Amino acid sequence: MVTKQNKKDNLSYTKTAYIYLIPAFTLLAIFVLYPIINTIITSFKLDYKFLTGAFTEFNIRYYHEMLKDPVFRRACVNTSFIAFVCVPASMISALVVALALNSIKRFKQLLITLYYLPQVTNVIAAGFVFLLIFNKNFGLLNTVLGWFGIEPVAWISGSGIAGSAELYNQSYRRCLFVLFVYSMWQGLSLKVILFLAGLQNINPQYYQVAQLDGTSKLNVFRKITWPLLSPTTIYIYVTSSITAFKAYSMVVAMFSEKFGPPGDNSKMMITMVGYILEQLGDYLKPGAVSRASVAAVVLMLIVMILTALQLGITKRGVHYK
Amino acid sequence: MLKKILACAMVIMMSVNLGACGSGTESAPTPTSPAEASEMAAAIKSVLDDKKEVKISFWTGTGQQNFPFIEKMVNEFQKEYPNIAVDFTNQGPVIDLMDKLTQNIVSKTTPTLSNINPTYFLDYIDSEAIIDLKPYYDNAEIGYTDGEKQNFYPYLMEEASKFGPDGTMYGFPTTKKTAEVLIYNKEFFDAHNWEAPVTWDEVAEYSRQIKEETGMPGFSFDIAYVESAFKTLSMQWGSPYLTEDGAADINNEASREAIQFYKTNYDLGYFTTPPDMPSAGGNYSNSGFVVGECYMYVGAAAGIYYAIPKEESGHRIFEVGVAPIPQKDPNHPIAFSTGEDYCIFSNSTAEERVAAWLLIQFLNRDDQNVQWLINTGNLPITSSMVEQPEYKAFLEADADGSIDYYRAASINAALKMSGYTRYQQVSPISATLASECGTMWQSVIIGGADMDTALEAVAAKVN
Amino acid sequence: MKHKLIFRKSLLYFFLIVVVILVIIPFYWMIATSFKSEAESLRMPPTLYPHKIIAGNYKEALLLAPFLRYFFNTCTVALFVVGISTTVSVLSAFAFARLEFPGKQMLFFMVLTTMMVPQEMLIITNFSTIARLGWLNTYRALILPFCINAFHIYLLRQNIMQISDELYIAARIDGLSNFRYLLKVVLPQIKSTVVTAMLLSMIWIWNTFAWPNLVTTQDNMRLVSNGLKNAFTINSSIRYDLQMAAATMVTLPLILAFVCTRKYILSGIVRGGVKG
Repeated sequence: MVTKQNKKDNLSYTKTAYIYLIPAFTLLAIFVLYPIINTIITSFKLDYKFLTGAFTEFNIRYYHEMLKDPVFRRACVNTSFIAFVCVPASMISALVVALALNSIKRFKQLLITLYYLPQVTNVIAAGFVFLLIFNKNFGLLNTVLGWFGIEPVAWISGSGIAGSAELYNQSYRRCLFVLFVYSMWQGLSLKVILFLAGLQNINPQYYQVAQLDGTSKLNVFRKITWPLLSPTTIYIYVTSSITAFKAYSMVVAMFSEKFGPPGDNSKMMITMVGYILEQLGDYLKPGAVSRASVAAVVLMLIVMILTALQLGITKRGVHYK
Repeated sequence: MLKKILACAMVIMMSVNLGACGSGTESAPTPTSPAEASEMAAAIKSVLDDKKEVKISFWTGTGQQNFPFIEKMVNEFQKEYPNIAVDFTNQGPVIDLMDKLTQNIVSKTTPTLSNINPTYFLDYIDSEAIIDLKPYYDNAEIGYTDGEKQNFYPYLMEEASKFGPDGTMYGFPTTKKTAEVLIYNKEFFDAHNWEAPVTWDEVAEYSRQIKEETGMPGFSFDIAYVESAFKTLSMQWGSPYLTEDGAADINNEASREAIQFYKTNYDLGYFTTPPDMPSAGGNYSNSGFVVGECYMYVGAAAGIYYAIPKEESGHRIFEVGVAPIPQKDPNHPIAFSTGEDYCIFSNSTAEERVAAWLLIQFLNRDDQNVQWLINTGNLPITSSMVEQPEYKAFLEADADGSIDYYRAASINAALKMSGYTRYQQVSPISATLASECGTMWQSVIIGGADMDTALEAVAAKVN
Repeated sequence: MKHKLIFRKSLLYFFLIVVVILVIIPFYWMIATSFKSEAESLRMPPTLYPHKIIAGNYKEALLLAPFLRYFFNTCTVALFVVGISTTVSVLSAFAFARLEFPGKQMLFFMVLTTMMVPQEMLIITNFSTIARLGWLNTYRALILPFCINAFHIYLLRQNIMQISDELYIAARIDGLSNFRYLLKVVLPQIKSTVVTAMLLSMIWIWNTFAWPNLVTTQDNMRLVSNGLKNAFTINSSIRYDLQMAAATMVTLPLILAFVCTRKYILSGIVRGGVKG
């Protein structure tokens, strides 16, 4: 907070601030804002032909059509699952792991480096391995379940789902589980590193005082660690949610570009970005790029509103100093 | 303040976009007028006779392992025409290449020459992004003689001529054509004194016996080419699939019977699909075939390498056979070829176009394509190719169980179909139809969807 | 009492080790496959370890595509992106965290919104922009769009906001300009976050595919991500054994970077200058 110094200082701050922001905002304007505006405009062009730029009229018809599209609604549901179930789950796990890592001394460096590895594991390799793990016949998971006498489960299977609602829902639940595990694996690594870095930022003096006072471990966490970790926590929460809303490659790796197990014709596991790209197709169909733009605009709005809510609700819980 | 900025930005963007749609491209319209013809003649003279220096760019989309073969051909071309420099690059899988080309058309940074998927021709022609090749094809100096023209398989020439209006030829076949063939476990068949099946009834009957004897399904149909299973079967049963005008015609009795045929056998366990086979599980049947999870499958001829059992992969070795794709009615056989066609972009000068056409011709020469065809398993596009000494030797190789022998067997099987192979018709809805039919096929066979509802849904979505 | 401590500590280690094993399975698979022969890599069910170790995959992978060139490009681009984007992010984060100015909330939210747009939509327009500027196949096109990173601006801003006000006031009283304050006081305190941001940028450049693929049509300008994805396809199948060998090689610099910088990332701040 600026003390009530002089107005002159205020003005110079403003000038300084704007100067510091110029590089960022120049790049922002050219490579982010301009495309966003273009996308918004394109979303209103009917029968837009990408190759020639021709279109018939400006209309909000594509918005109407999209909101009525059951595939779009499915995309919203799936994306929400990733954002509101997978993200908190992986955050909690990451926090637990980070706390554990923070409290050990031996092999700390080695273990931390190992937890970092998913960040640099080739995405193709990861997708392949997870498909193998969930493979009905040779998969690791079914093998382990077999030790407990459980029959092998067809995790990613579309057999009979188009004919029976019960089979469909069962397949859907299983696919969600697969997605959940995969996104946990993917999300854990970065969050652990960030939480660890955040934990380092807490002044050890606090802990020493608490130890002298004989505070219980739980209270140490509640009163010291959690509040002082809160800037990191909110950062991870907001950015992970935003990233979750853009989830696409993870779903394609597990479920192919059809967004579902073989035999599925409903694009069972499609996400919002998947919907955008699916509307885009090969760019050439009249209106394809417009429809994709509509979906992108709506996605952006949804994320904006949710992020504003998140920031607003958690504002009081965040302690910077 | 922000509103004002936004308004200004909108006006700017709109004017930019309107400008883009209004500006004419640098395309020369199809040279039918004397002016254009003389321009072309002048360009030919300047490139061939005056040996003027010309630079062209050529983008291809092929697997990295196949790239060196084309590279060699392009280098040979530059040796023969030292005044023409070719900037030749590989842009990755064909899908990526197509997206790049589309983007580059809009920004007017296309290469001179590339090969594209047939479905893209309609839109590219519509936006005047590519030029008509017929004048070059017919040209006395650099075109083909009548004899040479007839050397190309007629269905390929017909395909190239059907992309644009009558009398035009916007594409030209590449040597990247392939077809689907039947691959079967010859060892098993020989033991039972069976010949390779010619009709689907034979396939069903063999599959039934295979199931009874081994407990495994007999037949699988690859789903890598999406709509191929449905299209091939329903057309063989008599469905038009696409009308002459390019509208979809799939909601008919023939389609139903074809689907029912496969479904009945599938439910009885005689037929299967790649996702259902434990060792396959994707779009290809070969990984299941090599371990005996099926005994016959229909797949791309070029994929034969993966259908050969290998010791190192832990397979039991058995002899493999390749045959033409089975038919519903042997008197009215239907088989399809797929693959890209060349196109020359309109964003080029007259000399560049002549040079690009010369390159196309060179890349299609029989003698140049021997190594390419042998190694990639693509199909020849001329009848005379089989007479090329080295290629002929390759095709007549001994049955020694080597990979080369199997590659040759695959080509031989495909060549047997060349009398009735067709090209894939393209229309404004053909790409969507293909994609929808592929999904529908899987959802009916594997997913158990109701056939009638599914067919109607696709027909409604596409038309 | 001591037994309880040892028991708890062992439980902790056990938990961490179990989780870490699960976490590195794909990484192990990547390396194991890189030593398998082609035939073995296609085997179903897959083998847990290569039955016959083929070291030649690495050499063969390098020869299939100009990986050294790709590697050089990636390093160059990474160098510039890390340098420029960190500078841009630090300056912006400082402005948002420390300085007061009209429109601050709105501008910050604007920065945040750029995180919310899927890259796939930005690519189309950005390609047109780059093509129009004539920047196809240049380093500029590969570097500049990555220099604006809202995630890092946000991350750094969080960290800078944690620095106590007294330090700032003391600095102003001492007559320090904002810039010197940033350089001398803030930077040392946020070192770990800055290094984290740099590492994340590097990882991003190593893995990003869509944009570099679109703007580089010449082979000599491509990045390793492109090489990894496209160099190993034959018809429609992929040589996993070679691809994993290349992937492992590509991973090594990233691991090395982490090992070198983890000290800084996990160092925590040095509190000093203000008593009590």
